[in-house]
Formats: sequence, C-alpha cells, structure tokens
Amino acid sequence: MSATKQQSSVRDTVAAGTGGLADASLKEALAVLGTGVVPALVRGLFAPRRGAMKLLTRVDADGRAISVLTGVRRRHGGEGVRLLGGRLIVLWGADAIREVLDRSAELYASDAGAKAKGMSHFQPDALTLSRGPDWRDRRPFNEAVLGSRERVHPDGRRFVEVVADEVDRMPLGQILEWRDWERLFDLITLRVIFGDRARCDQRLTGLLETLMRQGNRLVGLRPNDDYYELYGALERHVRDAQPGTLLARLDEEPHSDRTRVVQQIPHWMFAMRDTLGANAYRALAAVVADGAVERRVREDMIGADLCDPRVLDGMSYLGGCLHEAMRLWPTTPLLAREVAYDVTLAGERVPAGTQILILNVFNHRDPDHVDDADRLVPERWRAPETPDYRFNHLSNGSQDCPGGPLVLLLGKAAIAQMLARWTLRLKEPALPAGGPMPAMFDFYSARFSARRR
Amino acid sequence: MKRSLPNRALHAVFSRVNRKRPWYELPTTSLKSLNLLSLRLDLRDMNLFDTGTPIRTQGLEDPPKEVLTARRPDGKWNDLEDADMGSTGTAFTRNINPKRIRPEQPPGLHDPSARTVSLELMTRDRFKPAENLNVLAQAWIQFENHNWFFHGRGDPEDVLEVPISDSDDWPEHPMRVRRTVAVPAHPASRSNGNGNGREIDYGNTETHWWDGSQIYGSSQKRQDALRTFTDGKLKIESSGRLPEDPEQQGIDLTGFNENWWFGLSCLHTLFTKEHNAICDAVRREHRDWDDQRLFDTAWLINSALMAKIHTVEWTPGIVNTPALWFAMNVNWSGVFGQTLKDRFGRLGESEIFSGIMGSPQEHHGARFQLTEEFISVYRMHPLLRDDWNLYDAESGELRAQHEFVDLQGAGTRAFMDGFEMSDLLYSMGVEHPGQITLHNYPRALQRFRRIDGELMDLATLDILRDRERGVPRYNDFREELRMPRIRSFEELTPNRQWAEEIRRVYDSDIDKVDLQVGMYAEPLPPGFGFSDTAFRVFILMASRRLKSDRFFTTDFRPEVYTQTGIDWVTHTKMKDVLLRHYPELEPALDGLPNAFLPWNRVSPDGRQPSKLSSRVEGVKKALAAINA
Repeated sequence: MSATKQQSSVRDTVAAGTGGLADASLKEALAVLGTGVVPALVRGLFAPRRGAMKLLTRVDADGRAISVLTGVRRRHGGEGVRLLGGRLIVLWGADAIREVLDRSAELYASDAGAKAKGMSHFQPDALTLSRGPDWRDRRPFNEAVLGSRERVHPDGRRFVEVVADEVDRMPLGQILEWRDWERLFDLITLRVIFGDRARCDQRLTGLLETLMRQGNRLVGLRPNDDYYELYGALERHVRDAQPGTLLARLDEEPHSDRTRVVQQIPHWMFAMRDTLGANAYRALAAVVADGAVERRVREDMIGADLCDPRVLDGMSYLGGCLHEAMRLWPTTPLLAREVAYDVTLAGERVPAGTQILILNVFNHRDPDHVDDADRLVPERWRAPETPDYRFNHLSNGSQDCPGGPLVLLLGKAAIAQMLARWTLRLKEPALPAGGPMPAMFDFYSARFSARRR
Repeated sequence: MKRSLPNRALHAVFSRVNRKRPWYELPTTSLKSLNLLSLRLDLRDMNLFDTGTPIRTQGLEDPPKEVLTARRPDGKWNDLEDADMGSTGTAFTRNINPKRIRPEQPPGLHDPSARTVSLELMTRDRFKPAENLNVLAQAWIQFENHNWFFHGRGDPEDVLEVPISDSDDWPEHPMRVRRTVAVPAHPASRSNGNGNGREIDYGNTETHWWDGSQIYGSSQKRQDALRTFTDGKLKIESSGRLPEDPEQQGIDLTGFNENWWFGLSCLHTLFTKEHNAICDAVRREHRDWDDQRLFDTAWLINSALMAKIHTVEWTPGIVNTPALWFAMNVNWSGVFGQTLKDRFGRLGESEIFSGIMGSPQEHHGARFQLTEEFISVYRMHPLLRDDWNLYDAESGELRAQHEFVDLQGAGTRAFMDGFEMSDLLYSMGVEHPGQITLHNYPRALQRFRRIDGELMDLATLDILRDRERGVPRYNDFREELRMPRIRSFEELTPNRQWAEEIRRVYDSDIDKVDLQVGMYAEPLPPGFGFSDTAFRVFILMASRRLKSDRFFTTDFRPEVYTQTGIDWVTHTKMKDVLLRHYPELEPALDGLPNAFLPWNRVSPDGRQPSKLSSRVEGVKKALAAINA
C-alpha cells in the first residue's frame, strides 16, 4: 500500500463521523450565506465597523441567521449541510465540529480564504495562519508565553494589579461609555504586553487598528508604511522588554527563527484589547442588567482580594457570566477551515479545497440543541474543563485560543474591579433580567450610569 | 553650499516623489532617467568630501611636458593643477561628511560579532545563480576593482581580535584579523577634525584613476618590469600566456596580481594582447614613433576601452533596465548618441548632450580619489562560484570539475596549463555567477588561505572592514545618501525567514544591521544584480571616474589619442576584443548583444545553429535579463 493510501485510510478510520451531510437547495444556500456569512463580512472580519454594527443590530441580522439556520437544520438534520454543490459545508453537529477543530492546522487548514487574505495584511506569520512545521513551532511558544497550560499565568499577579490600577485611574463621570472602556483595555493591553513605560504608546494599538481596518476590505492589500511602522515599533519594544510583561517572556520561552516572535504579538494585542474588551463590556452589561446575577457576583467578591489572581480564578460564577456573554454574542461570528486533503467527514467523502464554516452565531443559540439558548445561564460553565464543541467563542481543539485562561483572568479582573468601585446601571440597550437576550448587542452604543461606591 | 537653480529644481521635485516611490517605480523610462540625473546632481553636490588634503585649484609648479599626452604609472599629473590627486598612496576620500565618520571601537565594533554575521547570514545554503549573467561578469568586476583600489595586506602584528563562539571550529579563538593600515604621514590620519583621535584615512596602494593600472602597474618599477621596450609592447610569452611573476610562483606577472585565479589571468592576458594589437595599429599610422610614445598611446587607448566596456556593457548587463542602458550610454556618448557624435562631433561642452567623453574635466569640488563607501558597495563576493565546470570550447564537452581552491593562488598557472585559454573563457562564458544576496557567500572564501599563508574568513572581513573604517551601518548609510531609513526587519526584506534571522542576529535593532547585510537582503529593482543602496554610490562614482579624468574629458581627442585610438575606443566592444584574440569563440558569441550575458553553448555533436537563430537567441537572453 502506498504511503498516501495508508495515510488516508488512517484518516478515514479516525475521521469517520456519522449523521451525514445533506445537500441544501440553492434557495437554502443563498439564505444561509445571506444571513450567516454576508453580515460577518459587512461587520468587518477583523475590526468591527461602527456603522455596520448599528445597522445590523437594527435589522437583527444574527436573529435572522438563527431562524434561517434553525429551519435548515430541522429540515435536514445530520451534522451539517453542503452548499453550492459541495464547495461549502456548514457544520452544526458537535461531533463533526470536534473532528474539524481537533485536526485544525493539519487536515483542516485555517490559513485559507478571506481570513488569511485579510489577516496577512497585519500578521502574515501569526500562529492562527500557520500550519505544519510552522504551527508546531509557534503553538508551544504562544502557549508558553500566554501561560495556556497554567490555571493562573505566572505573571498573573502583576497583570491583575495593572487592571486594578487602570480601573482606579479611569477618568469616569456619571456615564460609562464604550470609549471609556476601550481606553481602559487599550491601557491594560499596553501595560500587560509591553510594560508600564508603554502606557502612553497608543500609536502601537492605533497602527494595528488601522491595519486591521484595511484588512477588512480583503482586496488590494500590500505591505505599507503602517505595517512597517508597527513592526518597527514592536521590534523596539522587544529589544527593551520590561520585567513582568509578556514581552519579557519572549527570550525565556523556546523559539526558533521559524517562530517569528514579533509576528505573534499583534494577535495578543487585538485579542486582549478589542475582543476581550468587547466581551467584558457585554458581560458587565449582562451582569448589571439582572439584579440577581449581580448580587450573586457580588457575594463572591465579599472579602475577596481582587488583586490575587488565584482568588479571581476561583470566581467561577463571574467566569460563567463572561463565557455566557461570549456565547450569546460571539465576537467571532464564524470559524472557517479549508480541507487540506481528501477526507471523510461525518461519514461522507469531502474533497480537498472544500470550505468548512462553523457558524458560532447559530450554533451557540440553536434553540433545538442548546437549553435556554437565549438566556444568560452562568451555571452552564461550572465545569469549563470539559470542552463543549458547540460553543467556540474561544474555539476548541488543536487551535483553541492559547490565551484563553489569560483573557478570562483579565476579563474577570476588569469586571470585578469595576463592580467594586462603581455602582452601574445599564441605560442602553435594554437587556431583560432573566429573559431572552436579544440576538445582537451593539457594544459601541452601550451606556451605563455610574456612581462611585 | 550654493546649488544651481536646475539642480535645486530637480531636487525639489524628485526628493518629494521619492519619499513615496523610488526612482525605479516611476512609470516611464524618461522619468526614471530624469530621476537618476537628479540623484546624481544631489550626490555630486552633497556627497563628495576631501578628508586630509583639500583640492588644489592652482598649481605650484608647471607640469612636465611629457605628462600632457601620457598617463604616469604613479597616477601623478592627471590633474595639471593638483599633481598628486589620485596618485598611488594617496588616501581614500569619503562620500559622507568626515565630521560624521565614526570608526567603530570595541565593544560596539563587535556588536554583533562579524563572524556571527558571516556564519548565520552569509553562509551559502545552496548556490543561487544569477542566471542572466556569465562568470566573465564576475571576473570583470574583480579585474576592475584591481584597477581602482587596494588597501594592502596589512601587518600581521597589528590585529583586531574578533570574538567567536566556543562551538566555532575556526582554529584560533578569538579570530585575529589584520587591521587596515592607515596613511602613516597623513596629517588627518589620527583625527577626523573632531579631535576624537580615530583613524579615518587609509591609503590606496594603487592609483585611483581608471588608468588600467591592473595591467600597467602603479609604479614605474612595476611598469618597467612588464614592458618589452620594443614597439611599445607588453611582455607576453610565445605560448600566448603572461610571464610568471619571478617573486611569486604560480602567478602571472602583471600590473596587479593579488587574489589571483584563472579568471583574472584570462582577462589580464586578453587586455595585454589588446595593448599589443593597439601598438601595431598605431604604429602602422605613425612609423616614426618610438617605443615610449607607442606605449603611452596604446595605454591611453586600452584603458579608455576598458572604461567603455565597463560603462556601456558590463554595467547595463548587471543593472539591466532600459533606464540604465540609456543613462550609461548618455554618460559615454550623450543623449544624441554615438552616431551623431561621430558625424558632427560634440554639440558644446554639455556632458548630457554629448557625453562625458571629451567634455571638460571637472571634480565637483573635491579631489578625485576613490571613497571608502565606494569600496564597501563593491564587495560582491557572493558572485563567486564554489564549484566549477570546465568545458572544451570547440566541442562543448565537460572536461573537468573543480573546487575554487584548485584554480587559484599559487596553483593558478599549473591549473591553466591543462587548458587552452579559449576553453577557460568559454567555461566562464556559459556558466553563471552567484546572486549577490544573503546565504550565498562562497564557502571557499569563508575559510580562505591567502597566498602568504594567512587564513581568513572574507565574509567576516567584509563586515568588519566597514565598521573599522567608519562606513556607517545600513540605516545610517542610507540616511547619508538621502534614502529613507528602514523601519523594521519586515520592511528590510520580503523574505520572512531572512527577516527573522537578521532580527535575531542584530537583537531586534534594525539600526545595527550592517551595510553589507542590508544590501544583500533588500529587494532589488527590476533587472538589477545588486541593491539600490549600492547603486546610489555607483551613480555618483561611475560618472565621476570619467568626469574627473583629464584623459577621458579635456584630452580625449585625436591630438592625444590619435584618430586611430579614438576610433578604436569608439568602435570596439568586449566581443570584438575576445574574437580578435580568440576567434575560435565565434560560435559561442554569435548573436549575443552583450558578452556578459550567458554565451551560446556549443553542442557536442558539432551542429551549429544558424546565424539568424543565434541572433534571436541573443535578443531573447537580453530580454530575459531585463524582465528578471
């Protein structure tokens, strides 16, 4: 037997899922793409566009996607559907999703399509765009720097103190708005990654944001002055890393020329500043919108040292709130993978080159397969160690977010510190206490009233 | 400094344009050429500096009569007011204001260790050929460098100690590298005017002029040893080879015979023969001339011919773009071209309209002496192959394979005894040199034993010499030439693996990157065989070598050269020289527009392609070279 055949039969046995993949009609396919994919592009794959967000929220774009996909899944069942003659597959079955995500960066490449095109504009050698030997080199490096395998990051104490200090210094009046929160996370990001001296170096995050906005447009991209400026600035910081920062760990952790250490930094920056910022803001809103939830969170805070990362790590209810916010309003609306070799998926042959879409927007709220899909149920996350492949806000499998534990720590710290210092009431949007949460939550326009405690 | 209005106007336009777009990205050939002209004017006005002795504009004594129509072996009296200018032993000058020259001292001198740079960034991983050139192009540039400059071999007792890693298999730790010898009596040699007491002046053991001193020597004694003193001719053996140097076994006797290998021997032999052929031609017209007059005239003609081949053939071969073909021909013959110039003569004194040849001599405010920066950008060692195939020129059959070490140094003459000269030329003609990039440095030169027994890593030396002589590192060098600084390793090179390696070696500090590394890493303009950064110095010095030389300018005229001489220079190309002395190379050169493009391979079955198909092939090669 030839090596290739042998390999593919091994793949078959491992890859065989059951449940099958039905073929969607053209009408269904257009509906799925129109509601599940187009809005994600309109919103901006990398830097959410403020205007688009407002518009999509007004037309309840994600709500429409959920209702279209619910109908399609009810009609076909199985693990997913093939669209447009099999060029695209939309997956919803947890087993099939597990198969794809567990073998990402190998059989199912994440460095293809629109994501790769756009992201290459600002981080062509990032872990998330790597496969094969590059991925195997970069993954352990990212895990080591970000402390993926630790419950609490080795520099967690300093990071949490940075959060406390920044919340303390937050120049807040009677209203908390997105731009206050964005600035808070900008400063936290700069200090955690680059150190206290970088606190005022907002040019760094500004350059990255500009590049990410350019990346949104996916076409006509080429390295430009902003790119070179950004990397020049990153290199200067790497050269002069301050103790207690993520950069200080770069030299300590195993890496080679393949790692391209500087190229790994932008992802940490935007995941911490933009993605975590938005998620923590929504979680804060969900918490204060429901008196019972807020009381429950505050109970855990009584007498707790909020600057002790182990204490924060133990606040699992608050962690559940953060997870729920990410589940209900996933900042990554879809995951895309490209099949790298011919494979068997959900019991069906799938040829190389097929695009696989995992629509978080739908899977997280599938009314038939997720209990209380639209309600905030922090208890759902009591045992987060067991991955649930329906929920992929931090992804799962081989390419799960290596910064997961760190973002949860920082997010919880920020929310807890805010609650400790301020009494907040959500003014916009309206989130019904204990009731079904709206499908969309435009964090740009969310506002709180604030009173110092 | 006061600049002329047109210079300022061009600068105002193109310096703005170039902030966003380099010259080679402009849309048309004419705009590119105009941009190049503007760059040259800027460089002339802002990048020429005397170091020690300022230029003399009024002579102290009257020139002796014989120097009016002849070059001198020691290079004196080329300029009639400043007799010493460009002569043997005078110092290299600078393209950067000497006030800003900072020769590096330890520990900065070794940050990072030049040996680390050599091993990590230069080591050839696989041979990367420059497929649009032949090896003759590589031999040629070395041949010309030997015409221009040599710092000497240094003093074995006066060394720099280069720190090297414990795991390095170099025989001595630290590595000992001879310092460059400064000009001893030079008043500025111990100070650059800042009182920091650092040496910045180093002497040239050769004449600075483009006077063929690699063939004719840089001293009277050397020159006399090369001459027959009959009919103006140079010594050549009846076998058609140069005589052996009585002081160095295995090496030819010629004007300059350091770094010897068979490629240099071939070119030295070729142009020694050309000299003798010129003597015959001039003598036919001037039966009454004595040996000295014939020698002097043939020398003038031969060195002008070499300068011309370099200007209108070698250069457009290695920087192969229409803008450069045009620019180099303008340098030589002017915008209106050689045909009009032949027909109507010069149209005034303008170097633009009628070329530098025959225009008035001009130094642009500083002595004509080559610069340290010029030497730095001509470090092109990656051109050299490690593995050599030797063919039979007649049958095209592969006759032997050798490593570089076999065919150089004291073994050169013995090696050449096994071949006809035409076989060796053919073997260079059909094979490619290496690309001038990172990871393409010849193994042979990273552990090279010089003929005097000194073991050296030339890649380490290339890095160390720039630092030692205060040639700035890459980014500072670019700034001095008004090129934008590079902001990050990502910007330096599109090769992401290189970017990471360089970042590691230079500890994330883009400003520490050495000039050589930056030049080898940066993306090349289309058609270019070396970097745009190197090219800036080149734009300035290529025309200056001509414009400053009385015998290419004011005295490039029939009264000095004879009409035979002027015609010889004007109508001879490299291919003519090769075929004059080795007519058996005709099939290999047939149809080729430029002798530095890869030659036709002669087929072993003896079949020859038709004239027409050879010509078509030749044009195709030329076009492939431009499109590269």
